Amino acid sequence: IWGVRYLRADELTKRKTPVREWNRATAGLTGYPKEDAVGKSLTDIFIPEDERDSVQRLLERALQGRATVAHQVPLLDREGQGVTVLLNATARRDTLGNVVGVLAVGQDISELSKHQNRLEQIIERRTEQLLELLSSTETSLDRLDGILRTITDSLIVTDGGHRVVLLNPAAEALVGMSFAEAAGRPIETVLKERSICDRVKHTLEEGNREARYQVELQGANLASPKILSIRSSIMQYVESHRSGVVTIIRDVTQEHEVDRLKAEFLTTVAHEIRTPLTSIQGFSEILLKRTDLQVEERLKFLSHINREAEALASIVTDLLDMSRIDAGGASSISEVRCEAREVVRRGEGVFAEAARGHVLEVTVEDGDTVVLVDKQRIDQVFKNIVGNAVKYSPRGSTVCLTGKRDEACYRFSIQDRGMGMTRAQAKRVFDKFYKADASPSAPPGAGLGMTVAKYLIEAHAGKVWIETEYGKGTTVYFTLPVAGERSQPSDGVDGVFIGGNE
Amino acid sequence: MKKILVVDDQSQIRELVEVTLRRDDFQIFQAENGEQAIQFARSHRPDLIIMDVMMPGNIDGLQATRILKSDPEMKASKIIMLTAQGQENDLAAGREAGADAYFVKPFSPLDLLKKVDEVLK
Repeated sequence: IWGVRYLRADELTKRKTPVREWNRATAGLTGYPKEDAVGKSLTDIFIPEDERDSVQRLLERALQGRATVAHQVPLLDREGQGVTVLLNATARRDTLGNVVGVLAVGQDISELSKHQNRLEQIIERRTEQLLELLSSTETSLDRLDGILRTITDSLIVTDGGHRVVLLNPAAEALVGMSFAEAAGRPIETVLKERSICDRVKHTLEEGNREARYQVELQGANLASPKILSIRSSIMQYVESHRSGVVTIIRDVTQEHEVDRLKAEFLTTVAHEIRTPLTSIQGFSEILLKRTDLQVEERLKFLSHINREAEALASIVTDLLDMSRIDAGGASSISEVRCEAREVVRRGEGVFAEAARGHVLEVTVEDGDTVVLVDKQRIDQVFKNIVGNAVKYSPRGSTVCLTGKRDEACYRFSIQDRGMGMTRAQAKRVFDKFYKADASPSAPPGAGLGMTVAKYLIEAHAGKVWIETEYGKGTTVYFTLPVAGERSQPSDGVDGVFIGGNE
Repeated sequence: MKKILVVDDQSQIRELVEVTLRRDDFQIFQAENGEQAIQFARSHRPDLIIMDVMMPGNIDGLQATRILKSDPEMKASKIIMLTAQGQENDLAAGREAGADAYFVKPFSPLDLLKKVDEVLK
């Protein structure tokens, strides 16, 4: 909407601004028809008092022929309401070029300012959204950073020039260099393992989507070789054609060790099972087919068969206990109240069966202490621990079985004067399938005895540990909780299920 | 009378083989490990040695077999290897060591007796 007004130059200088012309748009805008407006002072009637001076100056400048700047002023209508207009004034000249008045053009910008308001609101809202987006980007960056920090696999990202773009903390530990140090450096100066660098470069150069490979690290500072499983994949940036390589390195040494132990275990188990089976099959066939045997001999062979069948049964029990440990399932422990001296007596019974000329020395203190115990299970614990003591110490040597109150527990120990273990062997004594001596001539066993013993003792809420010295012998300690010392609803509970996790 | 040496670290297995081969035409001797087996074989020249593979000590059954089979003076002694392992590579190792036959535990005593007769023929 345009408002047009002519003002006479001579009158304008006298600070009068009578209107000469008044177009229809101005009439519509102000509500004054042309006849009401002509002759009246523009500034006095249509401009609010506080804006009059500035409008006067604008008009005077226009009169002097100077360019006028658009000026935002309220124009009063009939009701005295202001309509915001953008006022522009230019000199009006006659045909001779003399200034005869001022042409003031007002552009109604109330709509515009409404738009502007809306625009401002939109900008404000967009800004808010942007800020939100920015902070959520920050959050997801944070989250990404968190993920990178948490994953235990090493992550190395290199760019098209094989320079390091990213190292996560696991990778920092692997290469022995911080990301800050490594950033931007060629990969081969960061990662010492040449074969990995070559594979990374190869992946990019050949355009392989993904390369999977294993590397065995042999380092002077490594106790044993490390086996790394590695995946290098080409990374394509979304917005550009640049590419790089993401390399994920996982230490699979332990998985390999477990696989190796499992394979060894299967061989051992097969051997352990075959040995008693040989006696069982052989002697039973002899008994069936040979008629010339004396009674004593027949009885002796029968007892061989019987003993070997028991050995087989105990291997099977160990295996079942093991699979239970593997499954992490609950093992039923039926604990009853029992004097510690009675538990020691059970240990003596187990020893008598296992001993091969060994001498047992028993010491019991506080023998009337009452402990909670599953008698069958504790027999198995003794069988496994005493069995080892006997297997790994010379015939005729002494084995000491002691019992003693130890605060809220009762502590048992089985000491042998056998070959003992090195520190490295001792560390692994409770590991599944681990046999300190894995040679074919080693004493029989599947490498499960101590694992099972630990599991059973822990199912009793007890503890087990060893002390050993290479060449001197080994002492195995275990504790059982004293009855009443543990929060127990009633004494002598039968068939309690205790979750047993290794 | 054939002289047969039974080599095994487990006395029960020695006993089993001994009773399996209890016959008027066999004379049975026992050894607990590789060293004993070699020593006995060199001095007594048995017709047959039944040798366990896995034995404690410095010389296991495979090595003892290798040593005896490479000794020209011991050519006449046949060797049957007896082991709890029966995998292909074990059999191959036994053959390579020069064993005349290979028997896997657990075994049927009657079958072992047949094998012994076969090898001694």
